[in-house]
This record gives sequence, C-alpha cells and structure tokens, in this order.
Amino acid sequence: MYLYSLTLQRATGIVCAINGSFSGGKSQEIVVARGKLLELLRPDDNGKIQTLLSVETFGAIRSLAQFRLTGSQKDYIVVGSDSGRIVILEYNKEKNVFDKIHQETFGKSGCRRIVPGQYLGIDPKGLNHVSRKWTEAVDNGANMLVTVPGGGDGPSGVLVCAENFVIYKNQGHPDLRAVIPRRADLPAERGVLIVSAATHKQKAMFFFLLQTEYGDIFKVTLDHDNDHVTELKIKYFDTIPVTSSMCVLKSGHLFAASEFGNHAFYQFQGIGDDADVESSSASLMETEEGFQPVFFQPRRLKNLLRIDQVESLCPIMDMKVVNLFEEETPQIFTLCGRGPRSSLRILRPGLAISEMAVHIREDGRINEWRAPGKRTIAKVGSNRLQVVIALSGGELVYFEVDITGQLIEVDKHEMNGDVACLDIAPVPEGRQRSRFLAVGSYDNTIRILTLDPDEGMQDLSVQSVSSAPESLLFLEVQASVGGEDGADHPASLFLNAGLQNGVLFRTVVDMVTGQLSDSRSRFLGLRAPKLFSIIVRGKRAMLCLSSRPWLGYIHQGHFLLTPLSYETLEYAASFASDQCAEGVVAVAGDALRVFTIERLGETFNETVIPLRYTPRKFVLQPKRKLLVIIESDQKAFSAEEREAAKKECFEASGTGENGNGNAEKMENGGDDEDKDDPLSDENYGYPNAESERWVSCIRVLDPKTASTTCLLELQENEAAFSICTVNFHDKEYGTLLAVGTAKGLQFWPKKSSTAGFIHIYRFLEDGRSLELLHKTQVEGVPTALCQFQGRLLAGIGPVLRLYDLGKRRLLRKCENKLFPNTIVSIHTYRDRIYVGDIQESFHYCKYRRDENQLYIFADDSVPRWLTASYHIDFDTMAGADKFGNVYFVRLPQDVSDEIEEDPTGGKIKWEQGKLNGAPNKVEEIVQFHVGDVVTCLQKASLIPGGGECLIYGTVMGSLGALLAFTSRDDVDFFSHLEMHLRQDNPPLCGRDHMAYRSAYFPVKDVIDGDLCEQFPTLPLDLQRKIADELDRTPGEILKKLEEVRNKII
Amino acid sequence: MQASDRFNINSQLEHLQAKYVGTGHADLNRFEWAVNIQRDSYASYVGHYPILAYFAIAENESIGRERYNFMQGL
Repeated sequence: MYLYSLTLQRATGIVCAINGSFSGGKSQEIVVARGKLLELLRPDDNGKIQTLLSVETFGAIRSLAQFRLTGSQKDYIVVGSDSGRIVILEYNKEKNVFDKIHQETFGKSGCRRIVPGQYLGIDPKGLNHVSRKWTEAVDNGANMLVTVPGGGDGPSGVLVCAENFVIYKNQGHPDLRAVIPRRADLPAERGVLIVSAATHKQKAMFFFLLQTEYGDIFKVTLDHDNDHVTELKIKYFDTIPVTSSMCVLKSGHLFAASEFGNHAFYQFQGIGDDADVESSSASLMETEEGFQPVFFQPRRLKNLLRIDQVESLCPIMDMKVVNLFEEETPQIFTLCGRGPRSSLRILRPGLAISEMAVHIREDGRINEWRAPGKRTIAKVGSNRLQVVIALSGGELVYFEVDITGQLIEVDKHEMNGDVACLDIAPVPEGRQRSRFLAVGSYDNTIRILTLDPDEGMQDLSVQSVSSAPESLLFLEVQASVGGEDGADHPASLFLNAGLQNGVLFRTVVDMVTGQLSDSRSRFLGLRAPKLFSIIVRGKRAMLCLSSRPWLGYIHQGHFLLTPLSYETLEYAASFASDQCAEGVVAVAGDALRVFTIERLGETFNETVIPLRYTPRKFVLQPKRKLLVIIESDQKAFSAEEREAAKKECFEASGTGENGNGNAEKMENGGDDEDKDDPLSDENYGYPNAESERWVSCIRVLDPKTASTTCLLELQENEAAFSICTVNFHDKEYGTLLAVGTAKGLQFWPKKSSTAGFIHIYRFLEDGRSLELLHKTQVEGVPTALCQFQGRLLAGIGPVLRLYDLGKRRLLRKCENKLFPNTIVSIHTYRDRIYVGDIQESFHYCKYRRDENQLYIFADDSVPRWLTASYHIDFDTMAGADKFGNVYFVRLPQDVSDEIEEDPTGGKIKWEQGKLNGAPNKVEEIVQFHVGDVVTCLQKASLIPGGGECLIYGTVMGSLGALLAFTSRDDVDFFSHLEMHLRQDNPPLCGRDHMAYRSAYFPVKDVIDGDLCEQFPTLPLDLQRKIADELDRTPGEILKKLEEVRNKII
Repeated sequence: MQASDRFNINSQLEHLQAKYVGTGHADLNRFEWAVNIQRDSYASYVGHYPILAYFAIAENESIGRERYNFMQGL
C-alpha cells in the first residue's frame, strides 16, 4: 500500500512570533512559526490580519529572531530549528518568497541537549567574536531573559524572569528585585511564572510587557539615571488569554499568539501611564518566610481593544467526518481548544462568504429582445468592444463597436448546427479587439474561431468534450509584476466550459495561435455549471454555479477552484457599490442576494459552538443527528463554586454587576466575550484550584441548531474520560450511553485515583436528554469503552473486561489482565478485538464465546505511545504515536488465515509468546512522520464519489489526509517527483527532507504531497529541468498534482 | 574496521564523551544511564512544541509552565 500525504488545513497554532519590517520601508509585518510552517502576516489598513506567504519548512521551528543591519531599512529573520543549523532568511517582496541568505551548520540534527537551536540572542551591531565578560548565578527558578535596551536607548542589562520574581541585572550593578503580583484567588502552593514577553521601544522611553501563565500582562518599567537603575516597577496592565508570543507593533497594535485557541490582534487604548503600581523594587518586603507577596484583582480590559481574531483550531482533541446535515459533502466535526475557550467547530470544505443583502425579486419582469427576421437570437457573447450573436439554426453574426459607439456588423458565419453557448475573450490591453471567439455546439465540441477581419471567422482549433457544453468563459490572467501577492506571473488565457454532465472543463488557449492545450476537467456537481466572470481582490475570477457554487481564482500564484459555502445559485454577476467594493449579486430561488467573499486561500470554513471545559471525546447518534460530548478539566472549581466566588468578588468590589448574565452563559459554556460579563472566563480563564480537583460534564448537543439539549455536570471531582454508545442483548432500553469516569485523579507524584466508575445512561425525549440508569465502580480509570456483541468492553488500566447489563450494575463476564500498561482504545470487528495500549501499540485479541475467554493472539514489536487509532480492515490498524508518527500495521495474511482456520482456538491459546508478548507479531506496512501530535484518525471521503482517505487532526490544529494510490504508475511518478524535489528544492530551515520524515522511524511507502506541491513555486527553468527528467512537461506535472488533490478534496 | 583502529577506539570514545553529553562508558551504572535517558527525553520535549502542548493539555497547565518544569528536570 502506497499513500499520498497531503495537508488539508495547515497548522493554526503558533509556536513563536516576531515582528519587524521584513519587506522594507515603513510596513509592519509579523513572522510566525506554526510548528513546521513559516508564515508572513501583515495587518491591513482595517486592522485585519492577512497572510502574505506560508511556507512548509519540513523541520521543527523552535525559535525566531529578527535583526536589522545598521543603516538598513529592512529586517532579516533568523530561524533556529531542529536541523542543527542556523538560517538567515530575507523576505523577497518581488517574488513573494523567503530567500535563504545564509546557513551555518553547528551540530547534529534533532532536538538534543547539546545542540543549540532553542534560544536565539541577537546583536547585529558589530558582534564578531564572543568573550566572557561576567557570570553570575541567577535565581534557581529563572526561566526567561529579556534584553534591556542599551547604548543611547537605556541602561542595558537584562531582566531575569523567575518564578514569582523579576530581577534586573547588569554588570557591576546591584540587583533590583520585584515580586510579580498574584491573583488573590490563587492557591498558596502555586507560583507565578512569566511565559511571554514583548519590548516596546520608542525614542524617549521603553517598557516591557510580561505575561504570566494565568494570562495577566504586567507592564515593567525601569527608572534610571543614565546607566544607573534606581527602581524596577511592575504594574498590572490587562488580561488576555495566555500567549506563546506577543508582538508590539510600531503602529500601536499588539499581536497576541495564543497558545491554544484563536489568536488576537489588539489596539492600544493606553499604555498604563497611571502612577499607581502594584509592585516595585523599592517596596519589596522581606519577612522570615521570604519575600512578601503582592496581590491584585484582575479588571476588565482598559488598555487593549481587540480589533481582529485569527481563527485557530489548536488543539484538535477529537474529530469525526460525517454528513450529518445531508449536504453534498460531509462535514468535519472537531473538538477544539482548552478550558473555557473550548469549542466544537464544524468545518466544511469551501470559502466563507458574508452576505450583505437579500432582496426578494418582484415577479412579472419581462425581458424583450427584438430578433431580426424570422429567426431568434439564441445566444450572445460580448466584451468591451465586440458583440457576437448566435441566431437559431447556427448562424453567427459579429459586430464591433466603432469610435462613435455605433454597432457595426462586420462578419457572418454559418455553423453546422445550433450554438449551445459562446464567449469572446476580453480585449487585451492596448488592442482594438480580441482575436478569439469560443463556440460550444451540441455535437460535444468547442471551437475557437478567429475574429481577425483579415482571416474571416475561421476555425483555429477544435476540442471535443465529454458532454455538450452549457456555458463558456474566457478567463484572462494578466501579466503581473509585484502584484498584491508580490509575485510575477506571465499573462495567460484560459477557456473554461461548463458541461451538461456537471463537469468543468478548463484548457489553456495559446495567445498567438489559438491552439488549445493542457486541458483539465473536474466534476463540480449535479447541474451543468454556469460560468460568470467576477472581480475578487482586484483580479478577474470565475464563479461556477452548479448544484453548489464554486470560485476559481488565483491565489499566491496558483489557480484554485474552491467551493463556496452557500446555497445553490442560479445566476450571478459582479456588483460594486460604496458599501461593498467587490460584491457578487446572485439569484437563489426567488431571492436576490448580494454577498462578498472573505479570506481567500482557505480550505475550510468553520462554524463555532462554544463549550464549557476541555472536550475529550464525543460520539454520534447518527439516527437522531445529535452529538454527545464529554468535557473535563483538572484544577478547576465546580460551576457553583465559580458562580459563588464571582458573586462574592463583585459584591466586594462594589461594581454591582448582576450575575444573571452568567446563568444563561453557563448553559452553553459562554459565547464570545459577553459585554455584560466583565470578567469572562474565555478571557480570564477559570480560577485555579488544587490539583486533585476536577470538573466535568456530559453534553448532548444538536449541531443543527447549535443548542445544548442536555448538560450533566459531574459532581465531587469526577471526570469523564471515555464514552461510547452501546446496544445490550436484551433490547429493553435500546441504545444506551456508557461513560467512563475517574474520581480525584492525580498524575503527580504518582498516578492515582480514589475510584473509577462506568455510568450507564438512557436516552430520553428522542435522545435529547439523558437519565442515569446506574453506576458501576471499577478498580481503575476506564479509559476505553466499546460495544462488542451486545455487551460492553471496557479497558480499565491493564485489564480488558467484558460487561453485561444488570439491573443495578454492570456484570463482569470475562476479562484479560495481560495488557502491558493502560488500554486507551478498543476497536472491534466480528470476533476480533483490536486493543491499543498507551505505550505498547496494538494488541489483536479474540473472544471465544463457547469458552468465554479473551486472549491476545498478536501484538506489535515496536513500543508505540498511542495517541490515536483507527480500524482499517480485518487485519490492519492505523495508529499515531506521541512523537508525531502515523503508521499502519497489518497481520500477515498467512497468520491471519491460520488463526481463522483454527476451530478450537487451542493452538493459539497454548502457543509460546515471543519477545515477552503474543506469539504472532504484526508488520508495519506504512510509516510517516507528520511532525505534530496526531490526536484523531478517521477513514472518510470528503468529496462525493471520491476515494476514501485517512483524515487526521493534530494538536497544532492542522488536518491532513493520506490517500492510497490506485496505480503503480502514479506511485512511480510521484516517488520520482519527490526524489527530484528533495534534491533540487531543499527545505528552507536546513533540515533534510528525508531525515525529517524519518525522524523516529524510517519513512515507509508514503509520498509527501506537501513537498510535491512545492513544484509550482520553483523557478520555471528548474521546473522544466525536473519535468524533462520525468519525461513530461511542467504542465503535465501540475495537472497530475491537481488531479490527486481533487481526489482528496 | 582496520586493525589500527582497534587501538584507537578508546581515544575515539573519549573524544565522543567530551563532545557529546550522555555518551556512555563501560562503568556507567544503571542510575547514570537512566538520568541520561531522562534528560534526553526532556530536552526533546522542550524542543518539540506539539509535544509540550500535548502535555500542557493533559496537566491543564500553560505551555510555558510545562517548559519550565522540563527545564528544571534537565
């Protein structure tokens, strides 16, 4: 089995971010590292963050820094990664690429203890050699250094951030120490740690913003007299969700890259200039128990105003692909986020649009055309200066507009039959007329006719197609040099045809000869696509209206054809007004709609439903179209306690806020920052509790109406970890819900819990509500549940147990205690059970009903720390491990047959184990390093009629797919293409591509589609060189790449 | 391996030990070996952000706190 790996949704979480002027001049840009991606972002004039460039680097980016050479107007990027190399990049505005300027190797690849790459320090002002000037031991809890500007700008030195303290240090200068203020409700045993820092420097002043692990930002200032610092002041600034990086932009904005959930872009409303400070080095109090803590109370945002959000799926906790809404394509349901910022996100392939207006058309409108003679005008095509009409019977009449604006008949032409559709190419710049007319006929052909008066409307080329064309459109891509995306593109002309069988046919028209070449076709929907030309981002784009609308447009130098997430449209046209510069007006049913298209270049658009706690898992009730979600959080107070604490806090501060806004909010876990809730949990986080405290809930959610129909909050530190639906033998209750919980679970110093339970719930009110049937205590944490032959299989620590339903509790039927560590997943198929161990990969088991025995007959020889698993077929399992690998294991066919043929099972039962495990071993058939912790796997097809592929979701919020190749030729072609790209297009951060994909285990039978898709970004001569070696043209390679992508999405 | 290298292997090992922390030697005891493995693991966790994030979700801590804990154990 050979697989093609393709990232569908690029990672959305951010590892680190820097800001500067990377394209030179006055512009302000942000460079973010998203795991293995490097992206350049720029806030536009409206304060919306736009992505200019996104590059896959095939290496783990660990740190970024920017520097500027003296006298230069431009910042450079320094990247520290796992490549054992340091790389300096420059953003090339003209070509819209990152150019590698320098690469310095200093060690082995990988994230090792002694190979640098984790931290970067920059001094571009003439640092040639390093000599040690002074050393000093710092506080044992020190975790971060922040540079204090030196030279003419400040006193120089560093801020040492340690647990609970910020310390100023400089050579030959006494230390200044100030405590970091604590939230009043923080448990005494918890420290306060600075997790991110940003420096703002202006001509006359500078300050630091330091964010704690609870999200509070403090402004740190230094009172200094030349080089002598007299006081270190810490003042509470504002509270925003915890970030991994903050960037203060010169334009007065703050970019906050959240560690989980959406990123935000803020505008400074003030810089916290008031005189009152919470903590200062001057007021430091030392007592016998150490330094006296300083307390503060968070308040609502005063200095920051959020103006934009960048959506982030990070982390994806669970995912299911299912067509619950019965749309043309399935939806992807993902559980995202953590704590109060958790959400269920429903992803649909396609672009998001925003509707501006809807108008119901008045009926009775008549359009009248005066037809010459007895014949009727069948079709019309026109551009700025030319008109062609097709009369019934197949006669074409060609007009031109003269200088005075008169229509003049120029030529006539008789076709063989009726004309199905026609279109004239747009008039090229600086020309009088366009030379090309495309005519589609009912004999399944498309002809290109010349409109040159000297040649007299003769055929230039003929193209036969699979079905009669319904609509034709010339799409001209103008030559651009340094356009919006910065890159150069040669002019080209595409002819698009919507065929009656629902296929969009696209071909390149030679701008001189009119010959057609390089044709592609794609099935769009059940109706013949109607094609319309519209303007998007100042460029011509194509709207294809089939059973759903599609947009064809150029993005970062690629032609993309993406569905729009909108209802079926009949007709459309460009629409511009003061309110919307680039709108589209369309007819849908009997309504007239005006809309604009947002955020080009995205694969999915999402609907967000907020949740209360970190979602763990969910199951589906496909018949009733409801989701059941379990959510749980450690170290948090229960809902009642939080409510009470909040009330108390408001009463104490005398703000007189009413708490009733919260009661409603609790129902759904909170919408986005509520105006009447001054301290929303989404922004401020849940207050911290002791580590054995847990909160958890079971939620029944109707995704269609985005409403929670039932929410059960578990009591007394019980937390839910596993869930499944089960139909027991006696069908008394029908489908039941089983939930595995643990009470008082602690991971530290040793994993322990006071009790574990399996709850059995009954669905009421057509599945909308739950009723507890009974609760069975078990000896450990039930981390995996699964239905099996009308019974319930539970994985409790190292024990696999089969339960049956009793009146008062579950009844043990059978068990196997021979699993190595903790069972985390159970899949079943016929009488086989596939058990995933947290540390030891898969175990294949069999249940013998007559002997009532469970035994393990095969396992894996490789220790895999499973994070996700999926059952592929009778002998095959797909899994993902903690280190970012996806792999498939398969039981060899002969072993499988032998086991199935053994009627008594006695042979396997008494067979000797091998390698301290089962007698048979599964074989690894596929192995691939994704570079991100995969948390969920599912086999699904994302397009109607498309092949099934394995979809995965990751902690960093990316989605990818693995598609199995169907022909040997494709495998050969793509492995050669991959090989050439590895040689000629080495990854940006200096990591070897093959080594990266084999970081933990050698890559096996997977072709990296993300690398192959970098082919179009290569320089043209390099493309040609690679194509020559593959005996193809660059166009053919592009077509292949497009084809394989279209099979997936 | 050539015959001359056999006499050389000790010096090679010494060179490796000087260059790479954690290179073992003949008298390494069980504890030292385990400490080395543990530290290597921690260093790898700190370097791989997605793994840090994974732990952070499990323990309901910030990623910064996780990194700090692993650095302290290093």
